Amino acid sequence: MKNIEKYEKTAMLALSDKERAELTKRFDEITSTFEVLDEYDVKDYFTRHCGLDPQSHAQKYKVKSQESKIFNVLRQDVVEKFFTREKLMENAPASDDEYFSVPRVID
Amino acid sequence: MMSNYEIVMGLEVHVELATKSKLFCSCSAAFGADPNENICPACMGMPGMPAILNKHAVELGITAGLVTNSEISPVITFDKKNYFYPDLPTGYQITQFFSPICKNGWIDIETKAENNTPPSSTRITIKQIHLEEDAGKLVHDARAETTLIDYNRTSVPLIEIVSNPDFRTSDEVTAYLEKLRLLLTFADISDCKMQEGSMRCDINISVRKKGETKLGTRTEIKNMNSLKAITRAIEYESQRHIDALETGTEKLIQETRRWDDELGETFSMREKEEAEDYRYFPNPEILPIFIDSMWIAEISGKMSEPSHEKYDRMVNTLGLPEYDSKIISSNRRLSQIFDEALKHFNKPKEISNWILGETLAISKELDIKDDDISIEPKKLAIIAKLVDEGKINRTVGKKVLYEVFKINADPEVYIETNSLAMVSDTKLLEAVIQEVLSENEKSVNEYRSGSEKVLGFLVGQVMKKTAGKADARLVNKLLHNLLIINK
Amino acid sequence: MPFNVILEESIMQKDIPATAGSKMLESFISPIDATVVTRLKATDIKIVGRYAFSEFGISGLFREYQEKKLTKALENADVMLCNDFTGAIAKATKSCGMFYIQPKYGTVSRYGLIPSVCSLDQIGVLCKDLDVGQKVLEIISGYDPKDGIMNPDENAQARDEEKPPHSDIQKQIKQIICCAEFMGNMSRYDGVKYGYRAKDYKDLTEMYTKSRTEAFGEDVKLAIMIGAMVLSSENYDRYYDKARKLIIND
Repeated sequence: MKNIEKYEKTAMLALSDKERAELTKRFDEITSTFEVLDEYDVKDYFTRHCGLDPQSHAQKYKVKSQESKIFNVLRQDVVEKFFTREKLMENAPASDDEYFSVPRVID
Repeated sequence: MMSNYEIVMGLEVHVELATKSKLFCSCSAAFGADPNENICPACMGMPGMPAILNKHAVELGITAGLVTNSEISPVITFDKKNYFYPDLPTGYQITQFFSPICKNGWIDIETKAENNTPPSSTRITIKQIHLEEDAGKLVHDARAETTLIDYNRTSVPLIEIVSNPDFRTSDEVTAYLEKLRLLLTFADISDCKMQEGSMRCDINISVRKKGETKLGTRTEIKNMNSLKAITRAIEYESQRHIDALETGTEKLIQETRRWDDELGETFSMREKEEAEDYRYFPNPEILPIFIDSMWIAEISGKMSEPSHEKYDRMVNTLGLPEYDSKIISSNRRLSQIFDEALKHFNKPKEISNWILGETLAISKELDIKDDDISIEPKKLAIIAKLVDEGKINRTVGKKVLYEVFKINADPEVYIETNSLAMVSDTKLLEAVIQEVLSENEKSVNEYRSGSEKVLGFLVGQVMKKTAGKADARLVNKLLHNLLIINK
Repeated sequence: MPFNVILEESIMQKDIPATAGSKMLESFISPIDATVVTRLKATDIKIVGRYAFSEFGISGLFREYQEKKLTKALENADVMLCNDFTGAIAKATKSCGMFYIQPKYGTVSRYGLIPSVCSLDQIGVLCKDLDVGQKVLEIISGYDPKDGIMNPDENAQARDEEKPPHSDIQKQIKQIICCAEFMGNMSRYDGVKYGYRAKDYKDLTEMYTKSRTEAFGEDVKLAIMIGAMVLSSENYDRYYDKARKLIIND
């Protein structure tokens, strides 16, 4: 049985004992099915082109083929301001006029 | 003692890029705005606004690679580094963990000579340079027991320059930082102002017995922002390591420490039970950037003249003294003023003198740093030209320059309005001189009895009577003649 | 075309709460209109309500949606715009005579969509009449420079029903990738800038943990923790990296 407390902490959660028991059960059920991936060897699955493994993108792209792909999506370096500070702080749970506010951070 | 031990250091330097807008949104990246004025839903952590990469930031990253002799990666991606902290509104920093933009660079530095030994040149190798977002600023409000957050700085573009552990002395560290500053400011990558936080440095430091190849336990001192503090911190921390190893009173652990400049000590930062797991993964929102040789050549072609090339040109082509050239070519702003002014008045020696003389004198008087001198170079050129042509004298020239500093005066208008044109009318001057001579018989007699230095006083009197506008050289000549004639 | 449209709670409308079906965002007033909303507003189509299938859509990763959810969604509307990154909505349409048009990734702007799994998020069209759905898709789709994964040369098109490689482990691959990216997208919800903040807490850490624990449902918490596990440095190669490679390679 995996100890999910480590992941609970990483994810900034504080589960009740009941919740933790329940979620641990579900966590184990699901993650145990992942072990089947160990049967697959991916050491040849990578770097299709330009030294890049296009692993993060659902769009398939190959430089050599004619298949449509996009890359180099870049923005010109211009400043544009669409929102006032007031508008963006509207939803703040705690703030003074100019700053967002949280309990004191101890360094 | 120190001599048995060798200090080994590596540096991580964070540099804010001189872009107008932020790395992934079009908020202003400028320093000094009111809190939370330069934010938008994207950089303050609201959902719904996709990140779009700033082209200029990428180009400055490439430029940084060029000035540090680095290999530039043909493809780059961006990754999420996940952790929770109030200055990080999205709960992750977008950085380059898997594919940094540059690798395997180097910079040669020269360290000062000691005891008649010549200065030595050392090569510092650079492991990598990567692009990443800056975080916000926290302000601690002691009264209210809260911490206040300003997101202006969130997502401002940074490059992190990671060196290999090649440093052995604090002199090498400061020489490196000064050299980096020179390279980066001249390539317009950053203004590298440590006091404003646009250049910050983390030092990784360990010690080992001389001859040892294994590295000792290392500690990290974070966020150093002045060269003097860095030197003091290195001295303190290296000694602390040595003392710990020699006496065993303190156990050395790998940790992060912060330097307190007032107390002159490092302090352990809050310890964590286990190292933070950042769970890096490639950010699917940002598509890969392919950097080809054409793009690199385009950027290389547009680069500003580096400091050392400027120095060579000033000395060898323009024939300026080494000392003068060194000062001007070591500061981005002074170089810009020099180059630009030269376009309007092509006498390098004159321009150089005006910069090193009057300009620096006035800026010092007005407490303006070299980097912040904001006069229009064209106006400086005009003043230099007018003096050179005899239209105004040098004293007036300095006065006009002062007004350019203070109120951005237009030199020719100011001279016209205040009737400051140089007085070179011989008849008029002779009349004034006669007046001065008749009012100062005592001085005239002193001159007659052999005292040359009273001449200066008499010239001064003439200048006073002409409100400083007389052509001093002409006055000198005329005065001399009149005194001889009347002898 | 006087159609009525329902928006999923993850699609932002200016000055209206965008809850994503979560207590975490109950009070979150959106400062922007999603691009799809702007495009709808330029026609005579009416936006008549908002609905959530599950919290941030994540439950579709763990169980099937029941028909009644879909019928409720389109009770008073012809069409619903929603983000079916888990595929659960499309699956549920099979048994209740509805249709879900899943657009090819990158053909509909995600500007103004509260993200769940960035590499799969896409706004598609749930409808009773395929022609109507198609018409709406044409209106909302097309290049938007505010979304960095869009191809200016591509038009709206429904994605083909492709058979993915490794279909026997498709579920696992999907769960790994979804949980990992989902974890990354849920970190911004921390009670600091907007959204739910717990009432009592003794320090910053407790403010974070209580706010998130109280405001997130079970499925969200489960997905986040699975995400944290598959991305942990000891597991990264074994799960997330491998899943990524398997999803596109044969």
